[in-house]
Amino acid sequence: MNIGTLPGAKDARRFSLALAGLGATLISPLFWALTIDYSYLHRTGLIMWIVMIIGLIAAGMAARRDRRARTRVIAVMTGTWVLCLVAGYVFFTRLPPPSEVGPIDRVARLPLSDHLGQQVSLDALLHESAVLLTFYRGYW
Amino acid sequence: MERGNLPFPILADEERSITREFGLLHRGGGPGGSDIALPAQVLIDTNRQVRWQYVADHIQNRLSAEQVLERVRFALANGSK
Repeated sequence: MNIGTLPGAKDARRFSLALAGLGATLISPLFWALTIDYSYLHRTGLIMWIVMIIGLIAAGMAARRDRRARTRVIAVMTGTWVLCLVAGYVFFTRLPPPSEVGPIDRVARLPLSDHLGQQVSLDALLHESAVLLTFYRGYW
Repeated sequence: MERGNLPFPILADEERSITREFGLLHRGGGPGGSDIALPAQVLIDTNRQVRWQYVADHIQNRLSAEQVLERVRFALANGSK
């Protein structure tokens, strides 16, 4: 019998596994933020979900074998956090619908300046060609 | 602009007036409860018609550049007056 196979040692490893699982779910949203330049990954949050599921499984597996309270608490914390993340991702990222567009003729004459403070006329741009306006919301 | 040598202007809508005229104002959605624009693209042709627009329903649902270009090309190629 060596120290690695003592009952306490196995439980200690399972507790560590549960903690690792919790840790993985805690940092999983970072992976969503980090994939901001990769359209598909960012829209779906794919890497975040993968890391989260791995963490959840790890914590769950650990709690199944190690019946001590401390490991179960970690597993419950993990599960609760995952539920919060899912709710947040689905509900708190929602945006209100847009309202009616005003008459373009009027909008085109509104004053606009560029990043150098120079006046830009949407009216003038529209004389040349079609214009694609991108509203870049630089915030959550 | 200095870094990227962009062929298009980056505009500042400080009063949010353009944003409001396009119906894209998200009241209280910005930092500290300020008003901010919804993430959106609007394609206007030379006849001042809105030919295509996209408005995000969730903050993470933004189109890639390729997707936008595809839709713009399609919109401009079809329904020309």
